[in-house]
Amino acid sequence: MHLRAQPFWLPKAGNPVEDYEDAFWPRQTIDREVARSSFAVADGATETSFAGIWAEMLARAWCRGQLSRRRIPSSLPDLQRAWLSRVRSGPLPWYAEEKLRSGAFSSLLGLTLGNGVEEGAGTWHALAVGDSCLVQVRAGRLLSAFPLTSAEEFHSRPVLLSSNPAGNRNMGEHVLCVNGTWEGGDRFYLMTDALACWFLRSVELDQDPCVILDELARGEEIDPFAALMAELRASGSMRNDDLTLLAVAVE
Amino acid sequence: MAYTAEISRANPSCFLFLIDQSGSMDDPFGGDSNRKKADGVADAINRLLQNLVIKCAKSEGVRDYYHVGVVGYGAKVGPAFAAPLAGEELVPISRIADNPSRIEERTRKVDDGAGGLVDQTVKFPIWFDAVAHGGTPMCDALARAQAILASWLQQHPSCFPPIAINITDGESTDGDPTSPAESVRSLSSDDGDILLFNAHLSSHRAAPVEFPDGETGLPDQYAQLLFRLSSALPPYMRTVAQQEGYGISDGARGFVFNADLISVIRFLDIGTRPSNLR
Repeated sequence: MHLRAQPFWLPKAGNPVEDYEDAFWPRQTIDREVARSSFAVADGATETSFAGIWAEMLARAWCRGQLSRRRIPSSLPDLQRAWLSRVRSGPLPWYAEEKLRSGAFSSLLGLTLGNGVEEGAGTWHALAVGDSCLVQVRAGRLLSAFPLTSAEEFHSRPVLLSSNPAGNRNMGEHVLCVNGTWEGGDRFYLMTDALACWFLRSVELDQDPCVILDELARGEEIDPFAALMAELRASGSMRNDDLTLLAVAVE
Repeated sequence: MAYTAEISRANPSCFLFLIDQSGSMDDPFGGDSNRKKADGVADAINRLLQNLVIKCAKSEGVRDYYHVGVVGYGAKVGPAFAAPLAGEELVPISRIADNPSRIEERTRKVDDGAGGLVDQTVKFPIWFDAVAHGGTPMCDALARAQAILASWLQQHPSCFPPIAINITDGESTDGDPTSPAESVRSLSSDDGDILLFNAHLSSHRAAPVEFPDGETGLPDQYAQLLFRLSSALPPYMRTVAQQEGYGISDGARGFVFNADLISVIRFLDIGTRPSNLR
């Protein structure tokens, strides 16, 4: 299959780039023939510290095959130790120690695309914890959305993956997986919550967000994306939050 | 729609605490002869500030989402921060984080992630010690709060509405606080009315009550008066409270009896808070 994948991202309006706590993987544009490829976005929770680092570790780990449903229990402890050693350095103020103890939290949405038996078609598999979303678009129409399927399902209290083992009790109940098939020309959009919520609401209002994203993803420039997001935020159509879109086209 | 303004460093909101430091706070708390109400107040305000700081703490430090003031009322009415913040009326939360009067160490039980509990030593910052002296000039304290918040609103007209929290044993000695409380509640930003909440710490040996929707069942006249002085929880707080598992009805007010108001900090929305963060 031929894959073209392009990331777009923006920090919350009014915040510097360093405050961006979403993550995506791979970090670079892809445009090549492959037999199998993985993608992920993750959204570090605002109310926790060092969440951007945790989000990036999760996104990268998915793409390295370390976070399948079966492997999560064995891979998470290693990632949690790696997070702690990366963020702990010397004495900390009392509040920073308290935040470290609570741990960082992040959503994770991973997608893996593979070749099928026949040329020009194949299979996909996705895993999600939290409210980052995947949509599959065919010929400008929404084919499926995962794990959330309507705008009203979004709220600011999702269950997320934690860097603190105590935060992941009963996590198995919150790890959702889905499988599907793709045809040449399909588009997959991996989105963090604010963008996904706007997308699903726009679908509900018959506003053709698929066409809007298809047009954006055809370009490689961040400027049209930034301009559209600024317009949507200013009009109140989209919550002011970090934004990430990973657009994947498969042929 | 009210209570939708974004709380950010560019558009911060405000917390004002009123703490009863009167002589009656020397009486036992909740029927426990070993613990005074003044200790309960000091503990409540220290924990509220600690939780608010932690809510605003990020990797790089504490973000000034809130400015915070504390008015004490007892022998006198005025700013009640201990040194090094003594005399200051409203202080950015980052300065509160970095300037407790001292830091104690306490032990608490925490989940070990494997089904057990372990002891953990944690730092516990102290900004206030127990004070119990003089009358209970609650009307004067509410008038001071009104002045402080009116001034804040002039400078921050579009902020998320400030929250004032009064922690008291309820026995005002300078008159009926109904009218000055109304004056506080009538203040508003472009985003909605100020919220006035009350925490009633009583010597009554009665079960704690959190966010009731009526006076029935409250144990005494002081509790009933403080309930009437309290703002209704706005819909956004009720929604979050329900997501957090509180059984809260539509008419619930920001009032607790012999309980703390730490949960109010959890109800504040400054972005994603994982539901599995405890």
